[in-house]
Parts: sequence; structure tokens; C-alpha cells
Amino acid sequence: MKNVNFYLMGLFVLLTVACNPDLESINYDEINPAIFPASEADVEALVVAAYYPLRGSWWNGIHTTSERGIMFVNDATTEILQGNFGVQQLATLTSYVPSSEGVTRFYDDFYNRISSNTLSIDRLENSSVNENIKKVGVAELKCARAFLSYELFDMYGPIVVAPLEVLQNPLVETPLARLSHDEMVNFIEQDLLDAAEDLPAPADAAYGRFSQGLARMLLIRLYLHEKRWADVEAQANAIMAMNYYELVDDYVDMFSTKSQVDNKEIMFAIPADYAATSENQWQQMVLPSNYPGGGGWATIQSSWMFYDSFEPDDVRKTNLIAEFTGTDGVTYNRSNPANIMQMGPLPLKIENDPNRTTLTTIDIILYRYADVILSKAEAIANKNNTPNQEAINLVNEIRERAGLDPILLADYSDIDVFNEMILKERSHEYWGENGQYRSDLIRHGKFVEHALELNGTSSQAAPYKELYPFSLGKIAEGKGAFLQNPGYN
Amino acid sequence: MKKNMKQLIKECTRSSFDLKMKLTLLLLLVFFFKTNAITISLNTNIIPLDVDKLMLQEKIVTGIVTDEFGIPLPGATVLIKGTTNGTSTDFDGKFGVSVKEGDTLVFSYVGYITQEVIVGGSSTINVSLIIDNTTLDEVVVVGYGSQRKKDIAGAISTVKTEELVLSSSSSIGDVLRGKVSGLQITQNSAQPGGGLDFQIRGAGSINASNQPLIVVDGFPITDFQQPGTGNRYSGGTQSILNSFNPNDIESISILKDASATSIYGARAANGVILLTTKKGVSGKVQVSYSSSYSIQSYNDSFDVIRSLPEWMQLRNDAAYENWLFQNRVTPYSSGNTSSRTLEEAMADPVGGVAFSRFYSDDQINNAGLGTNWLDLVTRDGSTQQHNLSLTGGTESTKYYLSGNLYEQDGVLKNSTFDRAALRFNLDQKVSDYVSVGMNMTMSRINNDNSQLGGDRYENSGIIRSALQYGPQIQAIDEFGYYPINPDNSQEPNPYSLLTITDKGIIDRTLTNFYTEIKPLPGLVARFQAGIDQGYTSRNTYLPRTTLYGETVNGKATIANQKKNDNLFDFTLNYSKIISDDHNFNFLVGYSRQKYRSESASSGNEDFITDSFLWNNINAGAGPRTLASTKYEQNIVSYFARLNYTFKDRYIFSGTIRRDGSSVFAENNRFAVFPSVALGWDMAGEPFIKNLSDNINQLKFRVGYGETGNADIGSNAFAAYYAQPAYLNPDESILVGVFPSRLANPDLKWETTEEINIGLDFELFKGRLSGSVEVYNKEISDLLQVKPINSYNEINTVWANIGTTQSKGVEVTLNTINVDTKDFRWKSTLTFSKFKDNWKERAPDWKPSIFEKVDDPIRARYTYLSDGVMQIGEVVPAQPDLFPGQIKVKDLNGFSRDEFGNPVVDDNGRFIATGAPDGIIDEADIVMTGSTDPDFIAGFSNSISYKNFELNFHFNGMFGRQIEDATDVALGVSADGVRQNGRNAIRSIYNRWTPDNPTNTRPASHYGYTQYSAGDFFLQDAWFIRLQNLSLSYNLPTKALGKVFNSMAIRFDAQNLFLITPFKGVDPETTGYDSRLQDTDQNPSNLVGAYPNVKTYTLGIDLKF
Repeated sequence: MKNVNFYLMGLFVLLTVACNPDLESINYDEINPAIFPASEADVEALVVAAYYPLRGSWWNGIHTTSERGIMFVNDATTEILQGNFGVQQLATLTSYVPSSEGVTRFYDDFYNRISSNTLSIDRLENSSVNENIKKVGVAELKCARAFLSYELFDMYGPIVVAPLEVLQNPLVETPLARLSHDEMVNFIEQDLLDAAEDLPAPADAAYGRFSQGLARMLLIRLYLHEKRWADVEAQANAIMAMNYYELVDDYVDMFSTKSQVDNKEIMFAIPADYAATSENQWQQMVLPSNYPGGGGWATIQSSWMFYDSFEPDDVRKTNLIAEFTGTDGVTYNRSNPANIMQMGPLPLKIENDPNRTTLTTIDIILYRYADVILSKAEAIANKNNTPNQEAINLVNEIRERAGLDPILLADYSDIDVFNEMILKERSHEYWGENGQYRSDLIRHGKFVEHALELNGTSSQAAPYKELYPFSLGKIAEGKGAFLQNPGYN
Repeated sequence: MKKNMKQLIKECTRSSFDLKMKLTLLLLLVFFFKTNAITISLNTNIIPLDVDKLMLQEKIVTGIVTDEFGIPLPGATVLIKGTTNGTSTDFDGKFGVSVKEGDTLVFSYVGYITQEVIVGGSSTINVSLIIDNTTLDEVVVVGYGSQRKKDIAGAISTVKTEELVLSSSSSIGDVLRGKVSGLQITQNSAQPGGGLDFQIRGAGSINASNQPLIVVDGFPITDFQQPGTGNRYSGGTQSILNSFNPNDIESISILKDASATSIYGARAANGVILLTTKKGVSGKVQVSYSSSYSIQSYNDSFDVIRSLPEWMQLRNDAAYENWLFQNRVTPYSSGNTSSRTLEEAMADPVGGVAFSRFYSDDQINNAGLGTNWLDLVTRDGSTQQHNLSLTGGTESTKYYLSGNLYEQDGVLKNSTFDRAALRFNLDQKVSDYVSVGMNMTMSRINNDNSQLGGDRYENSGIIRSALQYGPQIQAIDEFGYYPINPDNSQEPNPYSLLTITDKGIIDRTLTNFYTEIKPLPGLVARFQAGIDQGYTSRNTYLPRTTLYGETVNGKATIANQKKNDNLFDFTLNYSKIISDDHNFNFLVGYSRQKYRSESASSGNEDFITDSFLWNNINAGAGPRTLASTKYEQNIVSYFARLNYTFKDRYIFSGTIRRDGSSVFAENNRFAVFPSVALGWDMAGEPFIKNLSDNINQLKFRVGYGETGNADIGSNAFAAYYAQPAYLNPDESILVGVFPSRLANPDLKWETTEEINIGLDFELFKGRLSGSVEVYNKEISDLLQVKPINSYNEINTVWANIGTTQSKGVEVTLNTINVDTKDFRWKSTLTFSKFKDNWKERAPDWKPSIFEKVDDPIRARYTYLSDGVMQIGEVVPAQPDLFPGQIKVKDLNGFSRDEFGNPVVDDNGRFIATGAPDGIIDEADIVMTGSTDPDFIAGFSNSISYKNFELNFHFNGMFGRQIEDATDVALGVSADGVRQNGRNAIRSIYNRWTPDNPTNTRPASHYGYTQYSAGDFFLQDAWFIRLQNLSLSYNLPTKALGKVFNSMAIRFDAQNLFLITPFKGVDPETTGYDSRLQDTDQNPSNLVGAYPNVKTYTLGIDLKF
């Protein structure tokens, strides 16, 4: 019996010693960061991830065509879109405050993606992958970083951009202040200049991916924001010198269910599919329940003011639906608007996809060559404070495609009149695309004026509302270093 | 096509009857065994075990053992004193044993006072045993062993299942509610088999897991639920204990304080529940069968508008109210906006839209009845169950075999729960030194899930849909289509949701093997190995008859999950009694566990026919979805315990456990959890004995212990994951790689330190007994997903973030109120109260201005509402508030610098001014207390009169407030009625209008403001529920004849009544959403919780 006892003790000791080494946690569905990125495919996977926050997705894509996307909210602060509930109403009445999550969330949800890009660039640069592959990858990451930075800067003013050293020590608390205006502009500008250098030329870039053309287009947006007219003109000239882009003949067709892969006007579009990898749900947002061929949520309308600003023959208002006969047999229009058209026509913009009532595969077009043309026109007129024939000619290129008569320099020789015209032209051309008209109005000091004209005393528009507020959480987290935009305290 | 589908469904269910087939076989086996076993056991009764003794002058003594009323006691033990020789009584209480004259026979039976009889000349000894009201000699299961109750120094409560009314409950958890002080069980869904949340002594941890460790026959089990699917609807929640047949459970021990639980170390921070299943007993085979049938009558607790004309009138009224409000017609003016007259508004309406009514008087007068959606989706529920068990054995082989069939049809059509469970427990003595055994349970649960879930709008579950769908819509039209509300085209027809097929399966097999070796007297070595294997699946199909099925031409999903948990335990236990006064028990052990989990899911849409369901998933045109996961975790532990009692009244108990978990980084893997407890039973002291013999026990206990928590869901290492991220020009998918988890190399165990002081008492020979416990628990290094600076790529990380403190009191009081021959009445009262507070926060804590360091863990932060703004009232701090909207109180403000930016203190925290500042902002939010109940209590009674027995049990929660989510969503604003043609509940008629300027309900437009409603909608929600009531009648033995040994008929009622001030449907099941952490609770997710209805059960218990 003693032997048994001895064996038992021995066994116990053995167990105690022998059983620790394989104390391990394994998640078989994950990747170990120590071995990534190592190959060309890894680089592609890292770069593709940078497109993820930029795509259309209700959950986490900033270019979603829902109320959680920047086009929806930004256009809703102008006469292009109007809403009578939710964040669209806040935008329409300019009544947003720091607790309005609908407007503060774009910063809260997306600004750390800028950090993702910073870290990815570092991961890529420190990997042992082929230098040429590295270079293009870094250019795409920089373009993604600048893209997002510009869009947030445009909405909120200068933001927090965390330096790499801080990001590499995430467990150390470091409250950061927002960049200064110049630092912000320089940061975006430098990334875009680098990207414009190393990205593929438009002819070589895949549809849906960044190219030199897009990088320069984003520079145009940045320079317009800063009113650096000469730089706008230079970038527009550089794009034109690529000899790649051209206006397509049929404006309306660009927004149909047809594939736009070969469309040479599109400088950047986000592909969308039915599986919601990247999604376009605009028709669902716009259409009322009783719309023939499939209804939606009727979350948003345009304004009659916007509708009336179009000339009668303008093809660009084709999908601004001012009258339809519902599934109930009733015809709805301005004089019988019911709940559906009280504020304005239906801003459908895209073709009503016959295959689906929910998502559509129509891609989300963000930048088109037409923008280069109008931006150049604006830049050369404003550079010298005097519109010239070249500017008018550029505008007429766009008008001609829209089926309108050309305008004459004589009627627009005054810079203020010219700018009024160019603003109207921009709103007609780009409504419901990337939401930049808000920025255009702000640039020309018309943001408050338009809001008041549209909504009278209901509007709470004021100059400080040209920037959106930050959420209270961000102020709290900043521990005194992070300051709210003026007017919101 | 429809026929095809039904056919298929039938076939599907048929295949699931597999286990039932097995059960039927089992039944046959049982009868086979029974006949054989009787012969075996009779032999053993008569043949003496020891051959030597037979050689001496031995004789056979026979007799009968009864209780004090003369009823035979089967299975009573008859032993010859000082030996292990003896027998047990058969079903008629008879025994036969071979003895020498002068031997002493010891007669014992659980719950009765042991009697000794000296064998004299007579060969017949009849004994009647007397019920033992004292519970001191009771043996209690503790971690890795058992102890006499009187020797226990920790806070342990026990429940014997024979004291519970199992009735129609699907799991043992249901019936434990309110039975044990300090154990709070909340039913989070009233669906069949619905989920239960267990909390022992509050919830001091702040991460998701405050669930106690549940150990079944020594195997710590983990939760296993139906997987989620991608088809929009939740299947609701299910109780972790559903896989275990409640009838198999012999006893339940609840280890509450750290001195009792620390033997389970790392996973014991939230207490431990030990379930012990029934074992075989030697003697004649006992077969028992019980069966019950329950009905649940659906009582229409949601008060929706049912009359179509009434609803049409409401919609007209709401439209007019809205038009007046939108046009700012008097009295609708705010501090910022002035109002107009009706004439002015009519002359120039907003948007040029004149007011028009939805329905003319004519239409209203000629409206029909309207659709009653709730009636269409509900039914009377029913439950039936059959339970058969077989116990028996010889001296060396003991077995327990049981089968259970349980079928419940819930009150929602489509919701059923169906379980078949088998158990086999075997103990085999191989020699005097070695015994082996096994416990095995195998169960299958088939669920038909109804479409539940807290989502809104187009994803509303079936109950919410039925509540909010307008009565003007037809349920189904003459062509078989399910019409959709034209004003709300994205919300599916509730009746159509019944055509969804959604089936879940949970298979679980838990097997334990053990070997016990006794090499020396007092030394036991025990090896235990166990496997807990689970397979669960949930398959769904959304057919074209539903709105979403139609848009995608049918959508099928398949999801399954497998788990495989392994356990290996080794313990050495040595007990020694030295000179009768010193009683030592020493235990050392080693344990390791491995957890593996795998899941896979797939989905497809666009099918040519609905008849495939999910059975031909390749036949869909897509888009397809696929996913899979797998992980593995390990735990290693070493532990030791010493129990020492001196003179039966001085108790010392000490444990130590060292645990290693694979989820932490190398240097933080192991942690040591010690405990020590002391007890002193004053009743054993001579001075007390001299004072009074009415004090049977007066035991003071004090214990200190440490336990841990390592439940962080995953691990503390950095990781990347890959997923579809973007699209190629041809819409093919590009996969991206994303960092998913930050490493935290410093992450370590959460540690609970607890001091418990307790008093156990038993007075007047057991007529009054109970215990009082007071504890103080501090949990340090709390594990939580901590937000770090939000600019970080991954801006949350598992971290040790501070300390919380819980204090509590628990009282259990057992009384025997009446104790006569024919009439006995026992009561048990339990009471528990706890308070959980923060004590310390992380250094980089980023509080909002209203948060304090020592707030309650589940604090309620809210604006204080100040009633409804009335006509002509001026609300200075809320200039854009209109009459009919809810006012909140201006209480405080931010201290600001000259630019208006809030200033912070040295810690970077905001400073409040402490005075109203004329602005409603975050500074006006206040902490109004905890969302935990003030206290919970239970009151059980058991009354027997002759052959009748009556049990009833109340439980209650007190001092709590919740919102009635259904009322807030559907009973306050008529906007949904107007805008979307939704229905409403009748409290809508109390809403504020200029003609009904109430201060208790706001107007339809109350939400059209930037201000919160604050605590306006909170209601008192304490409740007392008559949880169950059971009346049973034992048929007199004479009436039974030869076939049955005993027979009882039971009538039970559950949830018979509820006393509560809460105006909603049920203050318990509509209280909160268990899927969310308490801090994420969004009341709007709780609309239309599964109704909790009354259940009536008729049952029969037979023993053969």
C-alpha cells in the first residue's frame, strides 16, 4: 500500500510540473501581428483596409448614402436636402448642439482611422516587401489619410492628428490638442502632394481605387477651402494635362444601374454591391412607401427653392422627382404633397434600381472631372477678382452638357454675380453626390444667408454654425487641451 | 409549394426525434432491469456478506421500518454497529439481516433521527423512526468534496430538490428564485426556456460576466446558447441550465463568500453554484414516473387600441394636433418662437399645406372591426413533461438512470421548446480500495424560435410588430398575400412573420468518469476526467411571404457552433480523527481545463422556391455569406484545503489555490487565492448547555478569502483579423486586414477580497433556525474594456481599471410553525440586500462632469424632469421648449474661462459651478442612485395535512424603478399613428393636448426638442409575485394496491398573481435587456417583451 501512496505523490508532483508549458490561448481565426505584413498580398490587404472607412456602409463607412453619411448631413444644411426629423432636421434648421450625436459622430467614429493610416504606413515602411510595391502602397495610404482628414477638417475645422510616437504607446494617456489651422492644411497638403507623385496615373489605376487624378482633385478641394486660387488653377491644369479625363455626354446616365467602370469623367467612385460589402441605400432613404416599383423610408426631401433655381431644360433635375402617381393611385406633387413632398421634390439623383428596393449596386460617385472644370473657372475668376472669357467658357462646357444655353461674360463680369452663378451651377451639378455644396456656400460667405432664406425664423443659422460642434466626450477626454469650436460652449 | 414546405418541416422535426427513440428504448430497458434487479437485491438482503460471521451463532432478524405514522420507509439503512455490514429496507420497509445476539442494529434514514436497537431473543424487530427537525447532521456538498453542515465556516446555502416544486419549469434555475438569500435570479425573457440571470451577492464586477460559476457533479460548465444568425431576428435568450433535467438534481449548494468559493479560485469571484445529481442506492430497485401537463392561458396584457373607428378618430386628432404645432398656432410658442392665430396659419400654412383629415366621418362610421394583430400571433401555451427514473443497485454497483421529455408550446405562435434528456449515473466498487464511476447526461433541445429581439422599425420582433401594426391593415388578403402598411412600407406584416422558419438545436453531453483509490485508512485519491461536448445550431428561412423574404427572394441562414471542454482533476484527501476531539481533513488537488470552441455559418438568398428552406443553400443566386471562428483556452490550477474541528465546536478551515490562465501575458498568468475561516458553535459549550437545552446551534463564523476573475472573452494579446473590406471594379470582394485587439502585457487577474461574518442558529429543537450573513467585498484590478484616447486605432483595451466595493446582508429564517401528527407547516423567509459602489478608478479615467469617483456601479444618471410645460409658461433655461414638452431642471453648470470653454482641475476633470446657470447641458445631469433593487426577498411555505400538501412561494424585488418601454414607445406620442399609420396603446389618450393640459403625460410632439425627457418616464417597479403554488395529494397506501408503491396527484399554479405599482406588463421580464451591459441599456429595445403569463399544471407522481 505504501507503494501506491508513493506513486500517487509522484504522479502529483509530475502533474504539477509537467502541465504548464502548453498554457496557451489560440484564436485560430486571427493573424499574429508579428508576422504581418510580409508579402505583396499582405500589403494589398493592409492598403485595402484603408478604403474600408471610406466606403458606403451604414455601420462604419463615412460615404454611406444614409443619415450616417456626410453627403446626407452636409447637403441637408443647404437647400439641396431637407428633413423634418432626425439629424436631417437638425441640419435643415441648423439647430445642432454638442449633444447632437448625429452631427458629432462623424468625427468621433472616423478620426481614429487617420491614426490607422499613420500606423499602416509605418508597418509598411518597416516591412521587408519590395520597395516599388511599398511606394504605391504608402501613396494609397497617404491619400486615404488625407481624404479623411480633409473631409473632417471641412466639417469641424482643425482636428486632432496623433503623431506616430504617441500611437505606438497606446496605453500611455496623452491628451492631445487640435492642430492649428496651418498645421492642419500642411498635413493634408503634404500627404496629397506625396500621393500625387507615387499613385498610378488614372489610366493605370483600377476603378474605385485612388489615382494621381484623385489626389490632385482633393488638393483642389483643399485649396478652394483655403481660397488659394492660383494653386487651384495649377492643380486643375495638371489634371487636364493628364489628357485622360473627359465629360461624358449623358449626365443622367452616369447615375443609372449601368456599369461606370469605363466612364472617363469619374475620378473616384465607391463601388457598391447587393451584399453590402459597400452599400448604396440612397433610393431607400428617398422614396416614400407608396412609390411605384418599390418604396423606401422617405427620410429626406429636397426644397422647392432648390427645384425652382433650375432652368426649365436642365437635364440635371431629371431625378429631382416633383410629381409621381403612387401605388395608391393618387398623384402627388407640389399642390398635393401629403406627408411626402411638403418640403420639396424627391431628390432621387440615381436611377430607381428595378432589381432591389433596398440596396442598389449603383456606385457612389464622389468626384467627377466636371468639378475640375468648374473649380478652375472659379479659381481664374477669383484669382484676379475679375471673371474672364476663359472662366465663362469653362462654365459653358458644363452648361452645354446639361442642355442649357451658354452664358455671356457681359452678364457675369462682376465677380459677385459670377460667384453667385458658379455657386448655383455647382449645386445643380453636384447635388446629392459628396455634400460639398455646404463648403462652397461657406467659402463665399453664403451659408447663413441661404439657410435663413430657406427656413426663415425656424432656422437657427449663425456664422459659428459653419463648423459642426464636437461631442462632449471629446472635450472631456481632452482634459482641457481639446477646445470646442467657438459658439458651442 | 406551401404543402411542400410543410412536408419538409415535418420531416425536419421527425429527424430530431432521435433522442426520443433512445428514451423509448430506455423505458423498455428500465422495466427489464427492474424485474432483474429485484431478484438481485433480494438475494443480497438475505445473504450475509461476511462468511466468517456465518460460522458463528448467527440468526436472521427481520422486521419493518416505518415512520412515526406507520408508513413504511423504503431504502432505510440497517447496519450492525461498529461494522459496515447491513442492508437497507425494501419498498415495503422490510429488511432481513443476519446478526448475533447482543449486536446493536442502527436504523437510519435521511431526515429521521437514527435509532439503535440491541438484538435480543426475538427474530423480529420493528422500528418506527421519528422525523429529525434539526438539520445539523446534514451533509453539504462543497467544492471538491462534502462536509457536515455543522462543520462549515463559510457562507454556504443549500437547497434540496425534494423541497422544490419542479412543476412545469424547464430548468432548475426557475424554481430557485427567491429560495436562497444572496442569490438573485432574474428571468430576462418569459419565452419557453427563457434566459435567467444569476447573481450571487450583487454584481461587483463591471465587465459583462457577473454570472456565478456553475459546477455540475464537479464539472464547471460554460454557457452554451443557440448561435446568432444573419436573418434579422433574435431567438431570445435561453437558460444555461436548460440542458440539465431538473428532476435529476439531488441538491444545490450555493457558495457565497470568498472563504467558501476560493477553492475554485480564478472563476469563483461571482460565487459558485454546485449541482449534484442523484446517485443510485443499494437495495430494491425503485422506479418512479412523473408526468405533468400545464396550460398557459394568454391573457391580453397589452392594452392596444382594438377598435378601428376609434383608431381612425385618433389619427385624425393627431394630424390636427400636429398641424397646429407645425404651424405654431397659439398656444405653441417658445422662448425663441412666437405663435400665430389659426386664421394666420390657415392663410399661410407651413410648406403651403392646408390641414386635411385622414378619414371622413363617413369612413369612420363605416369602418369595420380592424385587425387584432396580437390575437393572430398568440395562443394559449401548454407544457407537458414525462419523467422516468430508475434507482437501485447492490453493495458494489449502484446506478441511477433517468429520462425526461419536456415539451412547451409558448404563448407566441411559433415558439416551442422541446427537450429530451437522458442521465446515467453509475458507482462501482471494484475492491475495498478502488471504486470507479461515471455520470453522464445527454440532452437535446429543439427550439422553434419566434422572432424576438429588441430592434425597431423594419427589424421589429413579432410582438413589437403586432403591437405597432395599425388595425386598418388586413392580416392576409383574398389572394394569400400579406398586405403591408402603405404609410410604413418597410415594416413587415406581423402575421406574415409566422411563415418564417427558425429552428434551433442544443445538444449537450456531459460525461464524468472517476476513480477513487483508498490506499490507507482515511486517504482517498480521486481522479476525475470529464468532457462537456456541445453542438448547437440555428437555421432560419425568411420566405417570400415576408417583406424581406420578398425583396431578396427568400433568405436562408445556417449557423452552428461546437464546443468541447475537457476537465482533468486529481485530488488527495486525508481525514483523521485524533482522540475523538481533533478532526482533521486535508485536501490537495490539481485541475486543468481546456476550452475549445468552433463556429461556422453560411447564408444565401434569391432562391427559386421557398420549399428548400435552408436545406439546399447552394441553390440560391446570392449574395452568399460565410463565416467561421475557432479558439482554444486553457486553465491550470493547484489547490489545497485544511479543515480542522476541535470538540465539534471550534472550526478552522483554510484553502489556497493557484490558478494559471492562458489569456494573460507570461508574467501575469498565475495568481494565488487564499482563504481562511473560523467558526465557533457556542451551543456546544457547557455554559450554554447548562443555560437551556433549547439552543441546538449558535455558530459564529468569520471568514476571509480571495477569489479571481479572468473572464475577458478573449485574450490579452494583439491580433489582426481579415474580412471583406472593399470591392474590385467587377464587384468581386477585396479582403482587408485590420488590427482587432491591442496587447496589454500588464493585464492581470481581477481579485476579490471578501470578509464574511455569519451566525447560524437553531433553536427549540429545530423549530426555528436560520442564518444571518454580513459581508464586505472589495474587487480590485477590475477587468474592463477601457476606453483609451479615442484617436488610437483601437481605442479600447482590456485593462485593470479600479476597485469596487460591495456590502450586503443576508438573512435566512426557517420556522416550523405547526408540527403535529396530521398537520405540519414550515416556512422559509429569505432576505438579501447589497450595495455596490465604486471605490477607486483608473488614473486615466475620463469622467463626465456628473460622475463621481464613488458612484454606484450601476448608477442612474439622468436629468431631473420637471413636469410638462404648460400654456403660457416661461422656461428660461429651455428657450426652444414648446407647451406639451417635458421640462428638465436647471441645477448646475460648467465653470468656464473667459472664452466660455469649460475649465478643468489638475486631474483634467470638469468643475461644476454648483448653481443653475440658465443653460440645460451635461452639468445638469444628476446621479439618482443605483438601478439595482434595494433588496430582494422570498417567502416559501410548505403545509401538510394528512395526505395533502400545499406549497407556495412568493418572491419579490423592492426599491427599483424602470421605464415601461412599451408605453414610452407606443403610448405617449401619437406621431407614429399620424405619420406611419401605426397602432398605439390606450394610454395615448392621456397625452397632453391644449384641451388636456396634464402634467403627467407629454404631448405627441414631446420628442421634437434637443432636450432629454430625463427621468420623466421612470416608474416604481417593486413587485411581489406568487411564484408558484402547489397542492398535492398522496393517495393512501390502501388505495394503491400491489402495483404502485405511492401515488401523488399535484395541482400547481405559477405566476398566479403579482402585486406591483408598475403599470407595464411585467416588472421583471420587461425590466432590462440581458444582452446588453447595464450601462448600455436602451429602453427602446425592450418594447413588447415576451409576455409572462399564468401557468396551471396538473401532475402525477408514481413510484413502483
